Order: sequence, then C-alpha cells, then structure tokens
Amino acid sequence: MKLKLIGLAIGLANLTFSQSQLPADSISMSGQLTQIELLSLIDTTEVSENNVFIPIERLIQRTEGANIISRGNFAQDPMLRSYKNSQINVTLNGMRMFGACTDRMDPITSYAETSNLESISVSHGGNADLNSNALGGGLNLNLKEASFSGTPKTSGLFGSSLASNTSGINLFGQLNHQNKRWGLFLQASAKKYGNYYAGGGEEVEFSHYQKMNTTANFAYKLSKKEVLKVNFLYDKAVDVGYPSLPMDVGIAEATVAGVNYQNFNSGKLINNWEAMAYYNSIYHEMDDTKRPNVPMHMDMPGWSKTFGAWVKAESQQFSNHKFNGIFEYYQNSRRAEMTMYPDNEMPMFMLTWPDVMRNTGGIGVKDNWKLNTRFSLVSSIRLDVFCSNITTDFGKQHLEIFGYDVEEGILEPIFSWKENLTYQLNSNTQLFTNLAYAERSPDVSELYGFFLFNAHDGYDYIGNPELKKEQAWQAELGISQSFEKINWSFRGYFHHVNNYIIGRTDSIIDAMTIGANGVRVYTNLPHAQLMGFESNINCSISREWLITGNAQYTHCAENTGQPLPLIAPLQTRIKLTWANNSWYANAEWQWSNAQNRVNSNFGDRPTPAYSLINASVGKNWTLGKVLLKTELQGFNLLDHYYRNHLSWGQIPQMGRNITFNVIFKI
Amino acid sequence: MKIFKTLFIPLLAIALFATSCKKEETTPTTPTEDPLSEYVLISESQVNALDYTVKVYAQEALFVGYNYILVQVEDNASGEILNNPDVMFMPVMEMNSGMMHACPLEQPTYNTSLQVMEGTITFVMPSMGMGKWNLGLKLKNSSGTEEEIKIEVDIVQKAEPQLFSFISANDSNQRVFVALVNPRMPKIGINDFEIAVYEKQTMMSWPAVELLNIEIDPEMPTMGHGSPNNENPTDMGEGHYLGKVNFTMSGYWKVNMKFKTSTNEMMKDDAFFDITF
Repeated sequence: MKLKLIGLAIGLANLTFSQSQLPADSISMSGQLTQIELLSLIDTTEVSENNVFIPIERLIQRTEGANIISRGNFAQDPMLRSYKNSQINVTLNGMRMFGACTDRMDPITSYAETSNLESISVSHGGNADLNSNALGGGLNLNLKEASFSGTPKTSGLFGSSLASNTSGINLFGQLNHQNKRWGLFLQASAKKYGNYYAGGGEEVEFSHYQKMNTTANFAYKLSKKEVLKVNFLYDKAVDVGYPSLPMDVGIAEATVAGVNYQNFNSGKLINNWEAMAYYNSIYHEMDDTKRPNVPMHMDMPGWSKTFGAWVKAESQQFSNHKFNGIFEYYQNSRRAEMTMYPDNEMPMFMLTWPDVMRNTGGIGVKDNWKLNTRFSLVSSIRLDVFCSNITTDFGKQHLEIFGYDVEEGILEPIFSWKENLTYQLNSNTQLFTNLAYAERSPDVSELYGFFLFNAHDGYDYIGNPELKKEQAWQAELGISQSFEKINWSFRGYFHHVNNYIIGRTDSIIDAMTIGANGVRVYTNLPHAQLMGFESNINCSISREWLITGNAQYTHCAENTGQPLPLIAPLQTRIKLTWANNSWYANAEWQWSNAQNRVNSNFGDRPTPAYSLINASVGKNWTLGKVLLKTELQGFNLLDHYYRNHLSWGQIPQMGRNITFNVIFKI
Repeated sequence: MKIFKTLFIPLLAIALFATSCKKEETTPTTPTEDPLSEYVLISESQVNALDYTVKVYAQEALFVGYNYILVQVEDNASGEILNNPDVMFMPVMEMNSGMMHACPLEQPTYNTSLQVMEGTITFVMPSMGMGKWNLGLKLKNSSGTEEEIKIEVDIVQKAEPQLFSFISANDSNQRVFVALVNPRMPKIGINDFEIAVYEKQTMMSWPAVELLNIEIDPEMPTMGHGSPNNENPTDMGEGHYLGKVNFTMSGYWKVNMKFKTSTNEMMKDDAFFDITF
C-alpha cells in the first residue's frame, strides 16, 4: 500500500507511470519515463531498476523542457525551459537546499544519487505547483522512503555497473524492511570514474570523479492515520574534475536530515496534511593543486546551511472545489572565501559570499475547481517574503567598496499567481491553457557576489544589492490526445520577463582573477522573452514494440533582440523499444540542431548539429527467489565527436561508452 | 486537528518573526578597567623640580613615521593624575656627526577620557646606528616653574616604511616628508587614507605643507589589479590630507601617490606606501 498524499505537491510527483503493455522491468535505460499529469503539468520520471545507473542529470535532461549545463562529467546544472540557477526551485524531498559553491559547481542535484531516488518531478513556469517561488518552475528529487506491509518483508537490491569509457564503476546496495508498524530503508552507493574520452579518442583531462552516498529512512505508523518519517542523507564527492573550469573540486559534502509527519483523513475540512522540519549543511572546497600552469595557488571553501519547515494540507472535496495550501519557512546562510598564496608574500584573502543570510516565509493556496464535466480551472497564488542580510561587519565592508549601503537587509515580497484552464474536448482530447504571473528574488550571488569568476565568459561577477526582482508574465497552450495505441502532446509557451538579471560589463573596476576579461556587475535588463515548445509521442505498435519520440525548442532574446546566452537548439529523440517476457532491447536516435543564435559577449560560440545513436539490450533472469537483470548499454555508438551547446568552455562530450550492468533483487 | 493547531501556529509565529528582517542588536563591548592598558609604556621619569612622575605611552614601539604620544603626569605629593598639565614636545636627534635636528610634531592637547596629554611626533629617521633620539618634554606647573627632561628613545624602522621624503621636482630647495597616518589597521573594504605632509625648512623647523593636490591609485602588484571608488586625499589643514582607499582583499597593496602644488605643478609622481595586511 502506498501511503502517499496524492494532491499534495510532493504527492503529485509520485503519480506512477501509466502501465504500458510492456512489463515495467523492460523499459530500458533511456526510456520515455515521463508522463504529463495534465492538470498539474508535473512530469515525473520514476526511478526503477531500468534507469538506476543513469546519472540524475541525464534523467533530468530526458524530461520534457529540461536541459543541463555541463562543466564536465559531474554535477551538471539543470535548466527548465531555459530558466536556470535560482530562476528554478530545486528541492530534495521537499527540502530547500542551496549549493555552497560560488561557481555553481554543486547544484543540489549533485548531492543525491539515482539509486536513492523514487522519482524526479519537474514542473514548468511560475507557480507551477505550490512549492515554487521562482519563475521557471520546480524540480524535486523524491527520495526513496520506507513503507509498511501487512506481512513483514525484507528485501534487498544490489547493483553494479562497469563503463568502458571512463573505466568507471558504480556500485549500490539497498535494504528494505517493512512490517505493519514500521519500515526501514537503507542504501549506500559508491562511484568512481576516470577521465572520459571524446568521440575519436581524445582524452578530456580533468573529467574524473568519485562519489559516495548513504541514505536512511525510517517510517513509523503512529496510528491508523498518522505516519512519522525520519530521513537522513550523507553525500560526499572527492577529486572531482571540471574540464571547463580552471580548477577542480577537492570535497563536496552534504549532510541532510528531515522529520516528516503525515496525517490522513484529518477531519471535516481537511482531508490530509503533512508537516516537515529539516536541516542541511553543505561544505564545498575547490582544488587547483593538480592543474598545470596555475598562476597562483588558491583555496576556495564555501559553506551553505539551511533549515526550514513546511506544512502542506489538502481539503476535502467541497461540491466542485478542492483546496490545497502550503505554509513554509526556511533560512539559508552562506559564506565563501578565497585565499591566494603568492610566492614570498602574505596570503591574500577575501570573502566571495560575504556572510549572507536569507530568511524566507511563504504561504500559498490552490483551488481545483471543476466547472462542469468539460472545464476545470486551477487557480493558485503564493506570497513569499525574502529577507536578505549580510550578517557580519566584515562581510558588509566588502560590498561597501562599491558604494552600496548594505547595513540594513533587503526585504522583498515575491508574488506569484496562476490560472490553468483545462477543456476536455472529448474522451481522447484535452486542451489546456494557462496564464501566470511570477516573480523571483535575486539570489545571493546576484545580490552580494564578490568577484565571482565565470569561466564561460571570462568575467569576474560582482553582486548588486540594488537589483530589482524579476517579474514574468507567462502564457501556455497545450493539447494532449490519447488513443488505444498512440498518445501525444504538445505544449507551447511564451514568457515575457521584466527586469531579467544579467551581467553588464563595468570598465572601471579591475578584474581580480588573473587573466579575466574584466568585471561584470549584475543588472536588470528592461526585459527578455522566452518562447518555445515541447512535444512527445508514444506509439505502441504491438505488444512487443513501442516507439517514443519527443522534441523541444526554446527561443530566447534580450530586449534588444540579442539572443540570451546558453540556450539549447532544437532537440529530438526517437526511440524504438522491443521486449518480450525476459529479453528486451532498444535503439535511440538523438539529434540536436546547430545553434547559431549565440551571444558571443557571454562566451557563446556557434555549435554544430550532431546526431547520436544509443542502444541497449538486456535480459531478466529468475533464479528461485532472486531476480537477476543483466544489461549492456551503448551510448554514442558511432563514437561521434560532438559538443553540446550548453557545455561551458566548448569541451567535447563523451564518445562511445558501453556499460555492463548487473542488478540483483532479493 | 489538535496537532495541526499545536504545530502550525507556533510555526507561523516563528516564520513571521524570523522573516521580519530585523537588524540584530550588537552587544556593547565592556569597557576595560585601565584606559591605558592598550598602550605601550615607553618611559617613566621623575621631574624633580616639580615633584612629578611622567609616563610616556605610545600605541606601539616608536617608529620612523607618525607616532601618537601620550603623556600622563602624576603629582607625587597628592598621588593624583593632573588634568591638562602644561607639557610641550621638544624632540631632538643628536647625530653621530654631532649635528642636531628636530622633526615634525603636533603639540599635545588634553584627552579627557584618558587623562593624558596627547600629541604626535613624526620621527624622520631611525636611531639605530644614526645617532640618539631624545624625546624632550618641557613641563610647567601652575606657579610657573618649568623643567625640561630628556628621555632617550629607540626609534625603529618598520619593515614597511611609514614615512618617505623627496626633493620637490618643482623646487630643488624643498625637502618634503610624508607620513602615513591612516589606515593604522587596514581592512577589506573602505579605509580612511590619511597622510601628514611636512617640509624641512631648517634643522629645527619642520612646518606642515598645505594646499597640495594629491592623487592616489592603489594596486596589488602581485595580481595586477587595483580597486574602485578611491577618493583622493584633500587638505584638512595642518599638513593633513584625508581621502579613502578601498582594499578588495587582504594581502600586499601598493598605494601609488602623485604630489602636485596648488597650481598643479608636479612635485613627485612616483611616490607610494606599501600596505600589507
């Protein structure tokens, strides 16, 4: 029995993948594991034995409307409909977390592991779900959690993957115990990857990494309608190379703990509600000691600590209305330092994040209104208050150099509102449209960053405490049809963002980083526009054959018509899957158009088109009570040399990679 | 519902309170017992004619440059520290060559909170090897009796010079001495940049130089960068010029300076102070 709170934003993410004719086990690695939940527009990628060895970032990349910015083979940065960084909300099991690296080498997605996830849910646009207080939607990593069972059960899952490219190894083990009263889930994983080789055999230096992760979840049934859960996660990556950047990472370490209380059938007004309190702490340390030709050795540690709590509730059905509410508070403190060691001189020191603390409180309400059998309208509003402070005089003194008054904090209300209208044309066809207004508070780097080097455009970035919040008007139209053998959907959108935040070159201030092109100060553009579409199609040819395909495109421009930097070109994937009872195989064609709409001011360079062929074959074995799965996966089989437009520094992507995966289920 | 109320309401209260953006109150620093405990005792002398004990304090060991000198005068008869005693600085260097010269100074005024006479002396060379510095103090009591005492002091040259001199490019008879007054405790951020400028007219006459136009340009030679929003020092009177220097990071900074006359004729275009912190 699944004790998930359907209807809560978290719960929505757990809506399971609709059963296709294929046995679940046989949907392969690169599967079309997303499905549109029409009303909420949340795309959920379930993690199963079939994709457990695919890095989180690659799973995100396969989600509609999503992309990743890479600086190497590790910790790629998610992007939703070309919104990035703090324009999107990234949460771990509903917990707010913020990376500790000033150069975004540690997006939150890098602190989890596919094998400890239940699913990844992605929603687009402002107020996409009640959890979101940014412009571009949300991405939540749902951790695997313990559950209950009438008869006590203990099961285990163990897996190992070997990769030809990178000489990589990935191991994980899980233990799951369930009984009537309590459940326990334990997991540990370890990965080690060497440098990868681009198509044609060129070694990409400093692309290696190692990582371990442990997760524990304990669930206890307090009563028939109350569940208490305790979560713990520890993740540590060491010796991580970033080929796009002038330095690597020595340690990236996160500790996460949370307590969750769920209450079902709560009363006449409230159907169910859930509360959570959490804490997480991240330590991140860059490392340039292994690089040749470093002009000066430097240490760059960063810290980020967050604690928070939220309450989410869902009402009973009142005639044709149903309400959801959220109340949330969190506090994030961040500090980053840089110390440089010149020869025969005193070390040089500065704060790059000058002891910043942000307090955020938010409240949101959503109304699901079934107007009649054909129309339904979902309205939601959310109001947040962001308060940003520099907590130490030492930190304040840094920003005062630029003439900013940072003595008082910045208090900023952030509002978002969304109307989503769905029309059921007939039993096969749904049409929907939505209109949203959303705001985003500038983030820590944008407000208070102090000489943060951006390796993509080669500028040192300086924050601006006088930035205005971004304000977006977003419109979207969509259609989805499903028939017995085929279903497809299309979503098109247009977003107009006022006060879009971007760097503007300041020729007066000297760059701090040796060899940098200059200094950029964050500033508000009058506006920017983002538009595009996503489409997908699933076609079951027979019981054994399935074709899936998708395409996505965004077109983004500054107010002057100049393209925004780092925007992906048109991309498509078409995949053919075959499966019988124990064997399965698939082949995938992945194509990306050239990107010639570039903004060379920001380090963009035109990127040629490329196409790749991926394939895999596997077999499921049953050996008594043990299920064994063996699989060969091939990625970029033709060993094509290509660049992804969203890769910093124009480094080539990985060439042919064959992995051999084994999974035991006991 | 009960748990809902007991949990939700406190949470709401906490969140609203914590998000209120209140400035945290700083705890006041506790005053130290002896107001002079942060200073260095340079000497303690008896003034026999007046029956005084004179203690000389400074912020640190005396050095070549701009020194704050604090003089505490105690009446031995009453055991009390005198308020606003009549004290005059008369520093003299007796050089090994037999020559004698004075140096720039600012005669002391009374500092009520510390109960001392406070002034400054800008020593222009170290005592080591060059000769002997005498910190001459002339004291006078209310009945007009005066006595001059000589206190031999050791003047050190700091590793990072706090004073330099140059011959004006505009006037080869003008020898200018520039002492760094601030920043004493340099920090990342905006620092007061204050210098005191004097000239040597005769061996015993070292008046302040006023009405100069001074430009500054800080840089980190190791990194090859400077800093934004510096303010050139402007004339504050009595040879003092006050501006702002911004340090974007700690480490070795070189504050380059140009000195021009009031009519903008260049006196020195390559002066600098090294400031490392």
